[in-house]
Amino acid sequence: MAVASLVLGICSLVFPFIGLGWLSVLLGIIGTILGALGRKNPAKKGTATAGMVMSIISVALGIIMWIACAACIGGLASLA
Amino acid sequence: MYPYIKIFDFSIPSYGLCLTVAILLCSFLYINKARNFGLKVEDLIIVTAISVGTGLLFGGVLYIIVTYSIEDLFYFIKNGDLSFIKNTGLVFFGGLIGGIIGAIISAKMLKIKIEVLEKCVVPYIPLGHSIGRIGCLMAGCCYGFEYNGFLAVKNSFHPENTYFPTQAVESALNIIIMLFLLLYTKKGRAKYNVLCTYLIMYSTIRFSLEFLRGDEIRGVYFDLSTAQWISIIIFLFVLLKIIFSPKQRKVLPKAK
Repeated sequence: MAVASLVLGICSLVFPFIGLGWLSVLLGIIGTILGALGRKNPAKKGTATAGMVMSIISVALGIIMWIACAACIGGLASLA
Repeated sequence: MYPYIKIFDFSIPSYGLCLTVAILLCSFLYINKARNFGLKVEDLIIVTAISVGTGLLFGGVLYIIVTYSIEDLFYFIKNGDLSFIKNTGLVFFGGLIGGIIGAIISAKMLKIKIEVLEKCVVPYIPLGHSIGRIGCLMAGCCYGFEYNGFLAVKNSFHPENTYFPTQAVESALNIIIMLFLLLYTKKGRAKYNVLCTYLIMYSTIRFSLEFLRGDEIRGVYFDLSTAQWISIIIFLFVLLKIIFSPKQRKVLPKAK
């Protein structure tokens, strides 16, 4: 679980920068859960913590890049 | 006002930034508080991750439902155009309902007492909402009625007029709700009592504030907006729950 969390954390860090913020949020949430579960095993606590932290950062970046406000789209459309 | 904040050469969407700050700050505050009641940090992170996931999912789905018609959605799916997912917004009530469902399910899975969790989480929901509304105000997506008086705000998308700062008012009222709930949770409360109190307070405020809004993008049905209909449903649901629930013992979790 710790390794899976780390892999998901690293992968999902890339997606916000290529316009796939929603995928980053999805993978980041899964990575965070796996990281938290992995932290319960003392032998893998370091790897799990790294994975969890990277997943949390990727969720944060994903939300920033993904969520456009509802009427921003409507507002832009009205300007066009 | 400021849909994007420019830091060096980067343009950061202000709404997404405020939403992220809100989620991270509230999670930090509630986890810090819940630790004092003997809950494990790992379990709390899992509850938070699941709640954020279900909250975003429900908020996005409700946004898509109220924004697009069924014909539009069929057209998008038929043509393999997933831009409606990529460009989605969030409806707060959807996020709130999704977050509550996610938190309850995950708390039951991890055998966390709901009354302890709600005592720690619920007072910080209005804080997060308040920060999110500042994001709305900056983005200029939702706005108040046309107004020229004190504290009138400009809108990036409709620069010809100034508007009533409805989002700023909602943000301030959310802070008042948070302060009330922080005092209210100092004493022991029965299961779902804190959550019901918050829902009753917020649905009443939201129903009233919708009359001060000028945008109709989220749909109007029978002279009431979608948010007002959801407010009515939530208010009645909570009221019926309070009336028909058997009286519960007040629980005062002991802090370590």
